[in-house]
Amino acid sequence: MPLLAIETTCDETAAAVVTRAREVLSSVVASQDDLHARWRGVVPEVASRAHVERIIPVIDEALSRAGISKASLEAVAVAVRPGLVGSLLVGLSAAKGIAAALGLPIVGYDHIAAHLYACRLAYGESMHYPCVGLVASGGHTSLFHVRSPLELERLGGTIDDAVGEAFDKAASLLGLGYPGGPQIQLAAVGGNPRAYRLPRPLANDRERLDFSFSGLKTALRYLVRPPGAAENTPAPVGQQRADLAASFQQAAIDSILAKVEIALVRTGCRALAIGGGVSANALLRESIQRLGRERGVAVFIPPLSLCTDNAAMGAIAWERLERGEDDGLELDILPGTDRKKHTSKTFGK
Amino acid sequence: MCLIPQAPDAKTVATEVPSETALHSLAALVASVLPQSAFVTLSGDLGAGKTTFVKAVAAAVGVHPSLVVSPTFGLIHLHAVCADPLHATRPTRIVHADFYRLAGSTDLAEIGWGDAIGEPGWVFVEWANRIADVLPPDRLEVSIEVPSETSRIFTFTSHGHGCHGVISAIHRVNTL
Repeated sequence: MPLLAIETTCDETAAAVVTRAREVLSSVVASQDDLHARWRGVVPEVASRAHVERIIPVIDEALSRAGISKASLEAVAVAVRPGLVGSLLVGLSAAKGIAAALGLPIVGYDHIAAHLYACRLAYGESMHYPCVGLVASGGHTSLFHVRSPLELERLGGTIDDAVGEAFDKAASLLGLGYPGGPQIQLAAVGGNPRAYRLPRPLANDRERLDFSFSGLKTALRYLVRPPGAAENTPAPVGQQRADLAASFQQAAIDSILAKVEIALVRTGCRALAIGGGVSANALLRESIQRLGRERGVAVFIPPLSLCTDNAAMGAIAWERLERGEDDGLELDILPGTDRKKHTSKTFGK
Repeated sequence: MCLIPQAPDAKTVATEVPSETALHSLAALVASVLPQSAFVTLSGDLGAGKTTFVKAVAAAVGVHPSLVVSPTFGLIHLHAVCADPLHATRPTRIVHADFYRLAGSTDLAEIGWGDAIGEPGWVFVEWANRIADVLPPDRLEVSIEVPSETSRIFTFTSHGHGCHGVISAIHRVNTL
């Protein structure tokens, strides 16, 4: 019998039904096309109230698409970290309500670990552990040594902007729309990735597995609008914009690749898995594939539908359910990212 | 580009920051004179260095720089500050928020803003113009301009009396 997974870590309200064999029977994401008609295309961002309004219809839709009733569920899974307190609580409350009403086990999972688990969903038993895991999205850019689906050691991460955020801000500087990733990728077609010299911050620092994208964003800003230029300087157009987009994209992807390569060497892993919204970027996918071929490393990249936020990756909860684990109704959210290895800690629990 | 109306008792000082070293000196100075509870707004273009400034001020009170990352996506980040007996006036925590993605102050209740600022500490808000109608009267406004690739002009304006000490301290350094 399948489990119901619920995801409300950020803007998306998502639910999915996944069998013990890791077969995804349904996966519904409210902020994407699936349910646009229901909200007439108006998708409020960030508000926990938006999650409250959408969570029950999204769960119902997931069950109905899977062709099952609540009675045939075996367990409930819910993302409990990282994310905004209010948003996480909506998903947790819905999950607890269903678990309590139906007498089902409930398991909390880590959204970041789940992003990498999307590879296990896509590749099944052929997915290798241990591997190096790269999670690149609008809110995260981190490298992990993934010993098993549930054992992740953080090797490094961004010290300023996440790469997806850098894409969003670059798109804004180039007068392109949101979200920035697909817009930059499209604008870069026909552009020369070597037309402009842009920095690859930290790329040559082989001691650190951290990323920095803030300086790249600032460098692009100087090209688009030099210091002292008028605030209403028009955004670049035509070939210049294509060249800027291509050069920016190349610099961002180069920065990531440099660290992935060091992580492979340092851990000795023969496998590499990626996850998160930015893994939908074609240049990143190609570059990662090429790196894998060159180094003889197995590469696992989820299909586009499993890259961006979704609840199907909540299938990771099966890994704990199969060990007989059940968090019970005491389950609580853990809003902060785990940075235990650092000297100072972020708030949360 | 001042988007937030100035109070009549506002005091202003501007200072040029020609290098990263100078930025860290300025941040350390601000950290040493900022009251234990303070509300600081930051304005400036994309890439001006708003998050970098917060990172530098937080580093001056011992928060590891790798922890202070852009809050654009997460909206509100909270950092614990370790107590230091030699610096009794340090805040116990730092709130770092970015309201670029908010439509207005009515969104604040939805993201748990009241809880986030409910305890004493330093509050840094990027894109505070989104919530201009609910800013506290006592606050420090920091605006960053970009005259050249390697330098920044920081303008500090204290609204209310709480942060006048910051203005005087920077003024003293400027006139050295």
